Amino acid sequence: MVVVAVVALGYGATADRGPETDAERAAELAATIACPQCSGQPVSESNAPIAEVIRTEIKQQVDAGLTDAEIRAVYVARYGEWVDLTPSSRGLTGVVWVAPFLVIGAGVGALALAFARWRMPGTTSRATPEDIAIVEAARRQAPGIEP
Amino acid sequence: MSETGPDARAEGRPDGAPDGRPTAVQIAAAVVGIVVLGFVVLLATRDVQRNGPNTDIVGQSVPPVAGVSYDGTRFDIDDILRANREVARADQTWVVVNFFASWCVPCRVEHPELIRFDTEGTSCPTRLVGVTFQDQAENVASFFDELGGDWPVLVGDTASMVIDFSVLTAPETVVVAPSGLVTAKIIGETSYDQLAEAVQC
Repeated sequence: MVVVAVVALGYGATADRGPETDAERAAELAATIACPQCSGQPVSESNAPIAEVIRTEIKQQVDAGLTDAEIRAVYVARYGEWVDLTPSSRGLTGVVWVAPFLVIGAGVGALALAFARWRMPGTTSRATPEDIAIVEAARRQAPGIEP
Repeated sequence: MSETGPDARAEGRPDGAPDGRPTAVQIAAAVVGIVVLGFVVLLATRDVQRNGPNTDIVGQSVPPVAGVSYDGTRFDIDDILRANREVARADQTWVVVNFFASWCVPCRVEHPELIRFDTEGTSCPTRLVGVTFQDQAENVASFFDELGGDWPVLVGDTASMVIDFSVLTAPETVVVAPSGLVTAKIIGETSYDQLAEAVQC
C-alpha cells in the first residue's frame, strides 16, 4: 500500500504531460515571459499594451509552429535575457538549478559526518592517564581533600 | 605549567582542535560563507531587469516594415531600400518609422511635428510611415481626419513589427538610413528638429 502510494505520488509529481492544445501552450509561454514594461509581471497577467501585443504574437508564433525555445529567443533578443522567467540551465544561471542539490548534499554529508564522530569511541571526553595523574598530584598537594 | 598550557586548554574546548587545525564546523561555516558570497557576486553581476527604453536596434539592419495602411494602400520599406541602390547617394531616401496609437496622448502632441516633417522634409529625401501600436484602422482614420496628415500608417497585424523594433509603448520613432541601417531611435514624443537632426545625408 505504501509502495503504491509512493509510486503514485512520485509519478503525479514528476510526470509532465505538457500542454495539450496550442492555446494551452501559448498560455504557458505567456506565463513565463515577463512583460518588458512591467516589474516582474508575466505578460499573461499584465494589462500593459505591450503585454497584449506579445500575447497576440505568441499565439501567432505557436500557430506558425515555432518551438518554445525559438519563441523565447525572440523576446530575449529584443528585450533582454531577464524577460525569460524560466532560468536557463547554461552558464552562471545554471547554478540556480544545481545549487539547492549541492547545499542539500553538503548538509546531509555534514550531518552524517557529525553522527559518525559522535558514535566513534575515543572521541568523547574521557580522562587520559595524564589527566588522572595531574588530578592525583593536585589532591596530594591540597590538604583536606580526600582522595 | 603544563596544566594551563595551550594543549590542555584546547582539549577542554568541545569545538576546538587540539592541533590548531580547523574543525568540521569551521570548515562547513567557511564553505557556506563562500557559497553565499558567490551568490551575492552572481546576483550583482548578472543581466538585471531592464524594463526601460530599449535602443539596442540602433546600428542594426532595419527589420521588415510592410503591410496595409488604414486607407488601403500597401507599404513595404524594402521597395524604398531597393530603389535607393539604383540612385545617387544624394537622392537616396531616409525612412522614419513612427510607432503610434490614436489613444496615446504624446502621439497627439507630436502629430503637428510629424505633419511638418512630412510636408517640409529636410535637405535629404525622406519618407514617413506610421505603424499602429494596439489600435484599430477606424480609430486611425478618425485621428487623421481630425488632426490631418497624409502618410501611410500600417494597421492590422503589427505585433511582429512592434516586437522587432523592441518597442515598449507609443510613441517611439526610428530613423532608417538609405542603406537600411537604423541610425536613431527616439523614445517618447519627437519633434521636427529632432528628426531633421537625425537625418544627415
